[in-house]
Amino acid sequence: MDQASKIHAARVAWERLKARLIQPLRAVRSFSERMRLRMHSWKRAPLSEAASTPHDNAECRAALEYSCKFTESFDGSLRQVIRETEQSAFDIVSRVKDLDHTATQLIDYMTKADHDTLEMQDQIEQSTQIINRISDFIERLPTKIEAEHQGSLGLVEKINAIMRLGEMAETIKDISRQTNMVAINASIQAAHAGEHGRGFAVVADEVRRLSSQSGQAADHVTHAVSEIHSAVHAYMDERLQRDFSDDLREAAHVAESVRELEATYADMKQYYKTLLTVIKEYNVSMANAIVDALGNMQYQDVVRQRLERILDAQSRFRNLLQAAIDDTALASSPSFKDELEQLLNSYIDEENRHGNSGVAGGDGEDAAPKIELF
Amino acid sequence: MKTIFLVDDSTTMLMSLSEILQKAGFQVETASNGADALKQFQDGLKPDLVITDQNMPGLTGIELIRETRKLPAFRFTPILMLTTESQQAKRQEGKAAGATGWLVKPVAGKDLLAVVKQVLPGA
Repeated sequence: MDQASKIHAARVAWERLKARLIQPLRAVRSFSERMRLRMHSWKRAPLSEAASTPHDNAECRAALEYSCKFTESFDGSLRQVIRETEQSAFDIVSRVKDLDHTATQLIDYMTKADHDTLEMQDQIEQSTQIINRISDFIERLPTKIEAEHQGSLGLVEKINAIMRLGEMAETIKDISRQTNMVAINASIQAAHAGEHGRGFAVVADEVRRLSSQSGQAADHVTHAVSEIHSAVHAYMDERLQRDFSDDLREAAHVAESVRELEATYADMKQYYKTLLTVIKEYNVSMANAIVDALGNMQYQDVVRQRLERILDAQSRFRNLLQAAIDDTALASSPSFKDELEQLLNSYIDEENRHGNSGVAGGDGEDAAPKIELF
Repeated sequence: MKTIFLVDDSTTMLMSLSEILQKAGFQVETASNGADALKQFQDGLKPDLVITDQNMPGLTGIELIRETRKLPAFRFTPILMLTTESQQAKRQEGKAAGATGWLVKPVAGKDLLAVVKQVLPGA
């Protein structure tokens, strides 16, 4: 049975209890009112005058017997009310205990949830610290990339150093040209020397051929180095530029995500804190309501005692009526009226002693405090 | 844990008050009449607080207090009357017998707990 059903069942039990009380109490009140009017009429016209004939005496006895039966039926109803209200009170206490049990379970659950939430908060804080470190790293990334870019520039410088090989090739070409000129001159001089210069001319031709080959090789080197330089430089520039801008964009995006994540964690922590506070307040309120409901069960005992005093008064009243039925002369005597008045006053005094100032004829004084420590 | 002894001939009273006090963290023992309660005290049961009704078959609440105060272990034990009777004369009779306080039924649960904590320091 869920909590709302339990509350509904407790309310139904309480309404049933009230319904069981109200009807018999109304009947008692109605009868008491009629008896009060009857006694009032006796005050105005004593029974000795009213019941002056045998016929009247018979009617008077019949009325007294009827009154006796009336109070006897009240006794049965009142005892039944006591039994039923007691049973209803048991039911209510039992249902309230169920509610209390449910509330206790809820508190246990929330206490565990509270513990879990604290653990989760620890984990969140740890995660946040890690994320913060990542965020710091990412924020430092542009500087790092810039440093790497500078490193790449160093590489380019190395490539440029290689490019200087091209300049060396140019030098070789110059030397080759000069050697070629020297070889040509040597060939001319060898021709002037005739037969004696023939061997020298062979050497000069060979030097010219080598000089030519050196020049061609230097040209190839210059050309190749130039191509390498262009290609590498173009590649490096393009790659570094692309990587640098992509990394910066990614770094900015991740840093933003980390900030959003931190805000989400903070919101979640606050939500759990608020939820826990609200539920704890609700539980305190519910525990107080349960204590109040249990305290109200004392009314059943108060009502039971009140009904038992009515039963006692009715019993004594019935004894008086029975004495009058047995002896109609007694009914017409002043002492009978005095005894009835004494019975009524005794009942009223007893009710006042128990703080019931609402009884007809009561003095209405109930000034004593409900709680007094001596 | 403090122990509270309830004496009342009403089962409803014993059930509801036990629940209130147990919820507040007290251990609760009960008796449905004064004679039974007195016997348990004489046999050595020593609660920290006694709450008794006045009108019970056999021994009344005031009579129970009077007899209980004769036991050395109960000379300073707080004893509260919880009754429907409210008249000053009866209160004075209870006070003379050794009652610590007088509570008129019905008493709100929170008020009862407040009084209990007042007469049981540290509870």
